[in-house]
Amino acid sequence: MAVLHPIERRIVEALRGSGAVDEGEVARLAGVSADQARRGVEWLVQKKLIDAKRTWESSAELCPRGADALERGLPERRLLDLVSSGTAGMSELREKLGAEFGPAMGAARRAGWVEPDGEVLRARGGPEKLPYEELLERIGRGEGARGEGMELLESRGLARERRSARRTVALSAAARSLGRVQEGMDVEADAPPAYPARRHPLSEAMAELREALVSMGFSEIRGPLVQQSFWNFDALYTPQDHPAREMQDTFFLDGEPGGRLDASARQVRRVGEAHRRGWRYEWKKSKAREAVLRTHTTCVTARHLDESEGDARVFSMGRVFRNEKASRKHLSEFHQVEGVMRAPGLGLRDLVGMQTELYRRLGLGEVAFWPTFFPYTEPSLQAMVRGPRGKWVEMFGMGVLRGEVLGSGGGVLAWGGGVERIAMLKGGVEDVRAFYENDLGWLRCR
Amino acid sequence: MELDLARLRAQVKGRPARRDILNMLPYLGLDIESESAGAVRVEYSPNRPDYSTEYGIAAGLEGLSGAAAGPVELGARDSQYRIRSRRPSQRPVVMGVCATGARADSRMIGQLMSMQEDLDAGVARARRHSSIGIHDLSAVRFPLLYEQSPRGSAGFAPLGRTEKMSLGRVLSETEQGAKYGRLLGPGPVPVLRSAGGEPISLPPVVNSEATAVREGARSLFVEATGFDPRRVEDALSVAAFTLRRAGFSLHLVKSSPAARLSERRLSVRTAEISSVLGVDVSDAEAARCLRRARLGAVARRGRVECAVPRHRFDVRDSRDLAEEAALGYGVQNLEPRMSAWSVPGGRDEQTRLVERASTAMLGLGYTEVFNTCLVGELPGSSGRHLRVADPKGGGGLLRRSLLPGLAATLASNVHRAYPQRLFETGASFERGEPAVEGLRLGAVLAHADAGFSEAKSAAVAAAAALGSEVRASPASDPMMAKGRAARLRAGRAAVGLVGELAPEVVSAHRLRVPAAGFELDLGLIFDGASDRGAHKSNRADGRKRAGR
Repeated sequence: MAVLHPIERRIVEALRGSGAVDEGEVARLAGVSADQARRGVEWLVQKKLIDAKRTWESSAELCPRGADALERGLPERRLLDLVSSGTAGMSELREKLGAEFGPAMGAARRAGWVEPDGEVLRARGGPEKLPYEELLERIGRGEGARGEGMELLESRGLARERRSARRTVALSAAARSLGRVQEGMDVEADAPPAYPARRHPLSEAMAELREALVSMGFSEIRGPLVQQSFWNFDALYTPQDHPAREMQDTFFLDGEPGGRLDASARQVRRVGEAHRRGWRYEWKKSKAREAVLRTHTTCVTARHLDESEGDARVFSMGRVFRNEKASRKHLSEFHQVEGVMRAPGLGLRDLVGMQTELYRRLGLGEVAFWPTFFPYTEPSLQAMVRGPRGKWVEMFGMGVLRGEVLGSGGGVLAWGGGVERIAMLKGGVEDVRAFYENDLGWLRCR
Repeated sequence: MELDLARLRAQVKGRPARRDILNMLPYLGLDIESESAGAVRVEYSPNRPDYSTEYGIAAGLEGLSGAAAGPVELGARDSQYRIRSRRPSQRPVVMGVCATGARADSRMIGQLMSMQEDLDAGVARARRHSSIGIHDLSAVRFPLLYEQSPRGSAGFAPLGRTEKMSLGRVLSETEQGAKYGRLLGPGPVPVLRSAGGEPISLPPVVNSEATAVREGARSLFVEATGFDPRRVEDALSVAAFTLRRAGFSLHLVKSSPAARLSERRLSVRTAEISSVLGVDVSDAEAARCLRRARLGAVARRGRVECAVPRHRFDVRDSRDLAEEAALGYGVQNLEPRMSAWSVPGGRDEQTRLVERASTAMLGLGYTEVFNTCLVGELPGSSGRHLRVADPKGGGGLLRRSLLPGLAATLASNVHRAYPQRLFETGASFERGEPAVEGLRLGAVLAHADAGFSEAKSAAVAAAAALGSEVRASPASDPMMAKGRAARLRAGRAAVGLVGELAPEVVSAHRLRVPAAGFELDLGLIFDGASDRGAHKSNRADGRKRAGR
């Protein structure tokens, strides 16, 4: 038994007992609007309850020039009238007919009506209506007929042919054999799509990271995005002439005077000593006061370490900035997560252990650790994870915090890396810029 | 840098298989960028300039593979080669070494050039601290003279050119002059002269074409200049080590001060190595690890005495030795350990605040978006924005509000289905001493019937979820339609804004539906709510309060 929409039902009932009807008649017969009739017929066609046949009809109609010709007479007819009524001089005729003189002459001669005699035109043939004149009149009456002369009318831009499609619809054999149909709902039809509101993929990645870290005993800390160079670089043992500190890689705040150095006298002294001893130069406070957009979150974790005592496991996650042009793999604004562990007896093994466990919880697959170099840890390691194409992809960097870094002192481990990188790996995203393009098509359906 | 695997293999004692070499390279601290047939691209650490050529990398691989241990013997001998120095004020120190007994092919020359570039870019800090020049020894006559000469004096045809030019013209008419001439102040410039008086180099800029090293050269002279004898010898030692590995014999050049290229004695406690590794190692094991890292090492009681080759000037203290020991131990051999920790972790207060706000917005059907803090120039109000200097990517202002970014997100989604409801939480910035950072919640909605009322409902609901009751009072804002915007207050504090987007904003963003939005200062709301002790998690349930 078929389940039909009320509109469909009315159409079916209306067509019962009829043969094929013109589609335009369905609305009237079924008592529905033209729009409803059109849709209803389509649905029924798809359900094979209606057979639709398309026929093409040609009809002719006047063009504007043709309407004018009907009113005033074809140019050649007017020419003949002028000649018959006595005006025979070529120049006079030219003047009276203007631009139409040429075509009029041509047509009149072809019809055999006139004959030029020097500067004068003589009438010859009869003034009977030509076939195509009659055709033009018929078309003008709306009889739309085709006939002899249509090509000529078309070529002179007087009339044109129009093809229109007509559809006739009739109930199919299947429909005719249906019993009384019931009104109901088509539960198989598609419902309008709904898009649940969602967190952004980076928020989800950060929440997952956060949960893994908190469950491993790490506590979250935060710090400002605007930092003094002291905390972003100097306290982390980055020398003041290091290339990364130049405008190339770091956003310096324009015109900010920097204010007082946001550090205690002890902190300032320790950092100065570390730079003097290690990098062998005199460190400048004025440079340390320069305000920057932080290039990593290490400024937050290291400061926390220096200003706290005892065993610690803390992490910080948030936005960092690098003065670079954005590309498929790099952004000038992105998110980092960084953590530190302080307890007696911590060494590389503990770092490898904690990271292995973290990647396991994040479901990232095979991991390896390679030695590398970072300015504030020594030794330093790089965690590598097998990416989608079997290649090793860099994950987090880590190491034992150098003694010169503020806050270190016996077995302090640090690790950190980019959040976008993890979100890309898990989400199969190839271009990091997608996270900031906010394409709703992606955000809604990923 | 690209390494030819066949050539590399030929230089590693024991000739390990290519696959083994590829597996070992990361454990020298080299980043593998890509592999292709017969070659591999690697990136090396800035603190290991000896890894800038295949010669140095081969030495490292020998240690890891066990084919060789301990330092590479330089075998540098004293010689009769001498540089007389008049100590030019601009760059007083000069040192040199000669290398004989091997043949320079084009690939070696290419490698020496990249070694030079890497030294320049790294420890030399763009040739400021040191710069080296490599010459064909057969074109040089000793003793050399190092002095300063006026810029107008006769010079030489610089490398790559045929025309002989004065020293001043070398500085002004060559690429190297343009790049490095700035390191020399006004006045006379340092010049290194052959025994006959012809200049062969204008440090730190460029050498003479006459002493250029070509394919087939059988002896080389390397000079290094700078201010600090230690840094000058650092640079020279990398060149010497590289040439030694390339098969040359080394001859020390006399100068004052002169390069000795001697090893340094340094020691490390075995306990420090064990602590860094997290593994208890014996004195003998520790010494073995250090030898695998191509250092000299002798086990004593509780410590290891090391001989650090001259080119390893990055090894300065016991911690550096501990790192070398870790590399020699093999990072891949570290067994993961989960150290005990009994204190539970937790999320930060601000995180919890943002989560509550986000949950409320999700519940109202708003999808989260992320926009950047740095934005491009905005018409009109840029004077009040914090700026950054010289941005590469274009956006040089720090946003004061989230709403413009949210409106731009609507603009980039005009071809997506409506209704669109979006929210964002994030930082905002204001000028101040120091700069003021705020935490905001912003939201926009767009659809055929979007209006003030819906935006206000959402704003009130979001604030309530954070424990704050907000009231609206008429306000105006350039982004909002006149008469259809309000300030939101919690108590007396202004905590936000709500309104319909102004028609100009809607059309500028090519939206074909009306849009409205709101913004709340989460920090102010949170402070207010916690002052009143009202930041409980399950407050507003929508019941109307009497009198409101």
